[in-house]
Amino acid sequence: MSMLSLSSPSTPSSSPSSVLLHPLALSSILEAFVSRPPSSARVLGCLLGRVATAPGGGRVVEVVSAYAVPSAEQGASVAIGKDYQRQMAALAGRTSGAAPVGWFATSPGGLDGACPVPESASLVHDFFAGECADEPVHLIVDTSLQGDATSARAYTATPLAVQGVALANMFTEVRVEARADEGERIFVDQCVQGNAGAGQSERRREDELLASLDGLLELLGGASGYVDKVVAGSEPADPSRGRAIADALAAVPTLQPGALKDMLSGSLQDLLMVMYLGKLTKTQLAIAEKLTATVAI
Amino acid sequence: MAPPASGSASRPVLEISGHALLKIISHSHEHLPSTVSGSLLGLSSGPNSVTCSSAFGVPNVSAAAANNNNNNADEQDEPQEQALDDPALLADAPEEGPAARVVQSGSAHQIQYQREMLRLLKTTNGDANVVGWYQSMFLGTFCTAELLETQLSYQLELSEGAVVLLYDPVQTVNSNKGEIVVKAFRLTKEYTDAKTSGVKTYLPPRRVFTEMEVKVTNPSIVRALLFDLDRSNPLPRSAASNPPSRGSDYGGGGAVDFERLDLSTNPYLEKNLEFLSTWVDDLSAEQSKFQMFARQLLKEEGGGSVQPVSFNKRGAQAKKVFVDKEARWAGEDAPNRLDALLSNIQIGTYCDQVNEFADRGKAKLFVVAGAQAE
Repeated sequence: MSMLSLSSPSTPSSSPSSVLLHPLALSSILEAFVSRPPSSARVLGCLLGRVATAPGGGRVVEVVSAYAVPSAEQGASVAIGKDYQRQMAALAGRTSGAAPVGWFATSPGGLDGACPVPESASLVHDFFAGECADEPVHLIVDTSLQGDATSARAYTATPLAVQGVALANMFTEVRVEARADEGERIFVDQCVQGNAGAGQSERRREDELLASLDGLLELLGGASGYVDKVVAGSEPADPSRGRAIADALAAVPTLQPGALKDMLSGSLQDLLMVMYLGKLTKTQLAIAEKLTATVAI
Repeated sequence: MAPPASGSASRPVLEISGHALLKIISHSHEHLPSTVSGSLLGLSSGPNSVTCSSAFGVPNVSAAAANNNNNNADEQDEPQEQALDDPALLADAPEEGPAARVVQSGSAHQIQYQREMLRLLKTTNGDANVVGWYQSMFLGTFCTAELLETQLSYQLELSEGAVVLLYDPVQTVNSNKGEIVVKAFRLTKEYTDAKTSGVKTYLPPRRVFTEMEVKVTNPSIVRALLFDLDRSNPLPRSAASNPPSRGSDYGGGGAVDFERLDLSTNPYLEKNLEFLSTWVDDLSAEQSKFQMFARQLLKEEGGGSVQPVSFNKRGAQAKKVFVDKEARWAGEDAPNRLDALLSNIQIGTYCDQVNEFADRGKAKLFVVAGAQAE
């Protein structure tokens, strides 16, 4: 997914400086797109999330989830279900702390055009500006699958006014980053692996461990290969990388060889003992079962 | 627990979309450490398979602060049920059903929430067909009386095939498995019959739940997205037969793989053992109740004393009173078997969890010990 895009050059402090996109939001948008009524080519909806202040100033908008709002488009004008939007936002607010922070639209025509934001977006944007507490963020998701990627871009709008009369909105792009909670991350990784390794129906425990170890070895090999190359002079030294490697090495605790062995055997004994207890408990349970079964007779 | 290979044809299957699971995951993690619940929406295609395409969460009872008849704000949530008309059919399910039947087992607040949500979803052609409910569990604890009660009412009022999905946010993160821990259940017919008939019979613990296999399916556009999320590994792969894609933009360098290598065992084991010991205490309390009752029966049979053959003051053998043991055990004053049954199942689950965790831990420790020796 091409997530990195240009950050707008001048960001006033009230408009978002970056957007963090959760997989749930993206999945909700795609789900809404898949189950849209067949007559409409685009789906509009509301983004829910939280707003935080970034350390360097500027707002960071975290988009946690999204839902579609029924809408009808005719030419340049768009009609949006206001009540639906309000009711859904109220319901969603009761289960989680997320509030409306913007709106999304799917773009069937791809995002490569010079002007991915259609004219009707201004009106919708103004509507959502009324719904959200702060300035809303507009997210466009490309569903045409024309390019190699399903990309998403975020925009924020600044009104252009002439002599105090607001004419139109100028949409400036904002950087989108991928962000996920622990559980979401694990699940997405699991899906990705399940997708790619579709041929593996059985992944045994040992295979999984081996895969992880292989990965670790490769990373270590890569790092040490890089260091070798720098020492041999075939690659220019990058101080930040060197520092990162040094930090990683420093994080390895130095232990007396005996101490590590003791720790390991201690852990092993704990595990074995717990396993024994577990099996013992299960046996007791089976006995209890049998007793309760026979007592009634 | 990872679902086993698809060789078990007899097990019913719950096909859940990634979107629904993501919603459940997000909802559960947001409200840790309290448990949350919500509804599953989808279709039930046949007796052995259920498809769930979406889900939504329901606010906590304690957070609602509305008038609820059920106290104990720190217990697990009791989700409400709402049965729309006839959801067990396929696409022929009528859009506008007649009046919804509401099962009173949660606060009025939650029932109203679910009703509103379903109404809104119906207006946008979204899935508004309830096929079950979900609940988040803490470290594998799910066998409570409320859960059984709620699931029973779902199965009786909604449809035979109502499913309860249990997601464990704590285990997913802490058990270093690299997979989400999710289970799906239904109650067996045996159990529902026994419960509805009100007879106190004995049921072996294995035959209370039917565990369903959980399969994650995604629509094609989402799979395209997943392919994009793959970070193609720039380093050349070894000759091992692993697929080249392992991480994702979300995953920060294949972090899932490396979580598996985590060696820390103590916190997880401690928590598990703590729970285990609490439940074992409960079970022993239940067992002692049974013992008391059995002793009482024996007393009655022996005419007022515990020994099988006793002599009263006049030296004659006491008369043996006939006690119909079976009727007494199935009667009113017999101790309730449900709690003992639940404790049994729950302790079994904890033991399995601990065993699995210990297995994996052992392998890792041996690997480290081997690497250390060099």
